[in-house]
Amino acid sequence: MTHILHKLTQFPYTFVLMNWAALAGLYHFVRGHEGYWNAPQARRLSGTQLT
Amino acid sequence: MATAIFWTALACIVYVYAGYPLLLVLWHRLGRRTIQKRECEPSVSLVIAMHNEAANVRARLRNCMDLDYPPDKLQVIVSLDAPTDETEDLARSCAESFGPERIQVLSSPMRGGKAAAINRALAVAQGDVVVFADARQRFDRRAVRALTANLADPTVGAVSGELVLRDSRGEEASDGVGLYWRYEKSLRLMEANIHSVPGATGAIYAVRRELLEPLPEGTVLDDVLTPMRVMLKGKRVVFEPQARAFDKVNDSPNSEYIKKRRTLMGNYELLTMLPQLLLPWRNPIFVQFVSHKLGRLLVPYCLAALLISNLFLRRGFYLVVLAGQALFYGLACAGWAFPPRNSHPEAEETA
Repeated sequence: MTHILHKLTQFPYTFVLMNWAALAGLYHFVRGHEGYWNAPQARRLSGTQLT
Repeated sequence: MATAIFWTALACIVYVYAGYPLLLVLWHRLGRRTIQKRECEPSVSLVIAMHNEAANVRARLRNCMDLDYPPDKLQVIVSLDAPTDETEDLARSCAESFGPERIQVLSSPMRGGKAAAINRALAVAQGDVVVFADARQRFDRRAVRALTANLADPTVGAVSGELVLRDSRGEEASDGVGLYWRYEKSLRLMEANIHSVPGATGAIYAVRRELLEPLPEGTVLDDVLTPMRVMLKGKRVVFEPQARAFDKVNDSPNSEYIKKRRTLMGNYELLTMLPQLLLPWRNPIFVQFVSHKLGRLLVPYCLAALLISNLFLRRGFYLVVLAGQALFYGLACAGWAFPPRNSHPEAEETA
């Protein structure tokens, strides 16, 4: 039952999340760079986690 | 007004996810262009840019040394972006054991980002072909051969390999993110057979060195910018499914979200770097670019427009669609509230 519920909810959740990513991507683009390969200056601008 | 918005938004969503793939199937059948592949052994520079990759560097370099390609024609360049862990020591120790003529380690005391690390590597690359790779993935032994075979065709300027996502059993992932990736690869294969793919797989792609230009500082998607520059120079960018790189599938949608956000942000950046991609008379894959890349950026706004316009249309067919949307977003909320037990939040920041 849990497995079926998981299957039922994961597609809509993933779909919405991936589309939300497009909005968040625009936000980060307008605000400054983000990503795991940015120089420290870009990191300060975006305030995002680097790895 | 609400009716017009409703149908425009719905048409846009359906076109991006179903209409465009169907168009590609038809186009692919009617206008397929062959690639004159031939096994060849041009000199190759394999570029791997790294920051903190102590966990991967040894295995990655061993994998490069195990490739089925003549050692005297394969130059491996590890370009380090001021690592703060043991990456540099490990890379240098590998270079010593395998031979400095086979592995060249470039270091930088200052962080400059991935684009700067790639630019440093390109400055010393000597191969006729430059293959780009990431630290985490592993190549199939024949991957470089499979890439270079496509470059025997003089109309081809760049080749994207295939990233195979494996699940915990070591098999190709077929649900969730894995399923989405399969859908994406089928689109790329058809696009490549028509003309070019609008972007390569960052984990494995090859470009003729003569077509490469330094990346602008801070470039997010080198694997889209570089192939698009090649395509705008009149060469094709093709997809080679036999050139495989392997990675573990990310089970958590949240981890995929972070990667997706960066990719989509890179698409906005791409438009500012190469605005000519929006000109149909300059971009030979204008339809593919708009449908595949820009369409994905537009869909969220269309989804919002569809929902809002539907709230003003609550009768007959529209009521059924509204109920469907309510159910869909309700399930999405449930998926958010009750994440799968095997989701690893700690992996989310490592994407």
